[in-house]
Amino acid sequence: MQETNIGKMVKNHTGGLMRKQQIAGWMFALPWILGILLFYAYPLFSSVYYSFHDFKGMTPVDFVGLGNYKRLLNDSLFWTSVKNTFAYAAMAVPVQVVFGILIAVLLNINIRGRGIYRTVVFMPTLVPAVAVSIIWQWLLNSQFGIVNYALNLLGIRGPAWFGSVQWAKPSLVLISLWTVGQTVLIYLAGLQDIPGDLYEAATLDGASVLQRTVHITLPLLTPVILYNTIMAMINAFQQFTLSFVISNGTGGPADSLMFYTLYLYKNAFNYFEMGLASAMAWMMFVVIMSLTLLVYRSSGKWVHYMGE
Amino acid sequence: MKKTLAILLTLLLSLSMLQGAALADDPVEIVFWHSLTGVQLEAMNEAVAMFNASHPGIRVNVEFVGSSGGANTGVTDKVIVAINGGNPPDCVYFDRFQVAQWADEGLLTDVTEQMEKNGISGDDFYDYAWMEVEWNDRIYAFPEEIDARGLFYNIDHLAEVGYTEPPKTIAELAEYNEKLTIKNGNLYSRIGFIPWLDQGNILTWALAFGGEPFDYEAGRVTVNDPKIVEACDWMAAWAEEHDVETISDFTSATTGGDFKPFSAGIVSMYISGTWDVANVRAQNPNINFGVIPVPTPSGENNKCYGGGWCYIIPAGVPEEKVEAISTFALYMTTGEGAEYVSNKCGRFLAYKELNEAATWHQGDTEYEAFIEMFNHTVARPVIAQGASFWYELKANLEKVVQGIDTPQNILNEITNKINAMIEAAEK
Repeated sequence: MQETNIGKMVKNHTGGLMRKQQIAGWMFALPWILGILLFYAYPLFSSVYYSFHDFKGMTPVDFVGLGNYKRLLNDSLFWTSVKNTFAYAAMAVPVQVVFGILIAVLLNINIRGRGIYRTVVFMPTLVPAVAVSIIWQWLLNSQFGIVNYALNLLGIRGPAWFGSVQWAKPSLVLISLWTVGQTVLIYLAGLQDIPGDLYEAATLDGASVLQRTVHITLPLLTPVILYNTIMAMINAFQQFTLSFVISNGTGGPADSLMFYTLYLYKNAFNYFEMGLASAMAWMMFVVIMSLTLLVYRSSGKWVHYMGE
Repeated sequence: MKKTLAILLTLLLSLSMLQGAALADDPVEIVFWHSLTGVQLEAMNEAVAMFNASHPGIRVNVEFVGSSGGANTGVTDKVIVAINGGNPPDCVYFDRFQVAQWADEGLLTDVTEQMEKNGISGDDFYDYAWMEVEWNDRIYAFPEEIDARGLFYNIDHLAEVGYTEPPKTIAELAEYNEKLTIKNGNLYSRIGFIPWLDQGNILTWALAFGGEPFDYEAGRVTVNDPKIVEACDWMAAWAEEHDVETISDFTSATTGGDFKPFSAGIVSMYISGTWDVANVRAQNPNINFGVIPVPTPSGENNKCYGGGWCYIIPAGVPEEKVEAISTFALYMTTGEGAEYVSNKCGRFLAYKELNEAATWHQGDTEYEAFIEMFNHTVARPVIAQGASFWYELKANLEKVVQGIDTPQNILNEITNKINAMIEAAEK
């Protein structure tokens, strides 16, 4: 009898403690919860609401149903921006992945001064995007830029880079390669995860460097490649700063840098079409989500997780 | 728990009482946003300090807010967000041509009463400045300055190739350009003239060629006017003849830094406005340059567009503050603040009385050249779609120059797009 009483007391006591701890836990998490509700959930859901309204100045006035979405589908500049964004992503993503792996493999070789090389590759990612844009605007200036000057010394006539419709997007891809350090870091971590004995065994069996890379390094790096591909894709679709700064907000030359997000911005802040801009944001969300799922689905066929 | 709550409530209550007591004596606080830098920033700060010293009941806090995307139209996106967020600044230094559209969208506070109370009317200002702040017979801004556009030319470069006079006609422009341009192999070391550099744009040349971009009677955009098509055809032909991609980099070179190619001596002539006289001098004190009206086909009938900046009060600012804000805005547009800034950075004021009395430009040939130009300066079309129309013209300039489509098609497209917006608004 007495025992059970004590048992009850203990239980009650710990129950109270649990509850207290729970409350404290929630209290500690509260700033974050409030933050996410206020600054993520609220704007997110209100933009769904706005996307169905004609929202221009202060308050959304008329409910237009799918009107904003229909208007976009009939807007030629909208389609230009879609094409530009896909074209940019189609160039930037594969180039970034290949280049990132290549650099990571090189930086993984045990040579003197490796730390310095790694720092050099990582450093550009610390430069703010606007500064990156302005630096490259000068480097790639066809007349006074150092790149074309160097090409000229070699007897090559450099392209007009940002002045040319054909070269504007490749120029941006080039800049995005300069800031590939973040992904290189992730690849490096992935490379160091690959057990050394696999290479030893392969070497003993007489596998060449190329064979080891193709049959060991790449397959075991695929989980990291999957992650970086998805991130690169999302970043490419959201490319805004470079084109905004370099084209001075116009999306030029001749709309060749008119990316989806830039057009979204212009609709919201130059044309006061907040509803239309919200609709654009949601269409983009659906597209990125589906593409991510697609890549993720396909990953079963090409991604190898160690230990499986 | 109850005790803590009680203590908290008491604390809050006493704090709010304290605040209430403080309000009674404290000056009205005004948050003022602008995007000025350099000399302009200094002048602005000094004028505001003067205002704060002479108006103990009001305290203006100047906040620098970065310009929206290098569009040189000041703070716009951040102000829209602030207004929609319900926490706008009290006053903003604003590019005037956008006032009509912002007023139409309900983003600005009506200041008609404040103007009347202070005995200020349209007659006190230059027409094209006043026109831009009036919307549906109400006033929505305090016009500060006026500007005009002209051809800046490097006197030494011209002399080098044997010219003592600047070009006055379109034909002369081409002729001068041929002589002034220097090309070494693939790279240009100097370009005579680029029609679309800086302030050279569709509207500049539309007016120079005698076109009418807007029909006020019909209330419709007429930017496909044959004369404007002619102006754009001329630009497109120039671009085709002169390797547009390469020389366009002379244009983009200006956006990254603040240094003008003209100041650097790599472009001999370009179109710009009043404000650039001070910029060019600051960037290159040794440059010897002159300014004349934008050349026209005949060399006569000069016409250009002008604008200028103003002070606005965003929508949603507490009503009781409007009077204090207006006092500040009037001080900066018609009072000592305006006078000070105008003297310090060479700004022509929209307020006639002060502008006519100003002595800072006397004997200064480059500035004096503009005074005559003000007589043939017009405002950009003042319509509810004014800002959109302007951005559309800006975005399409490159299409003309890059030869993406014929000028006729491009101008038709702009006309249809803006007129569709006007029609939709009329419904």
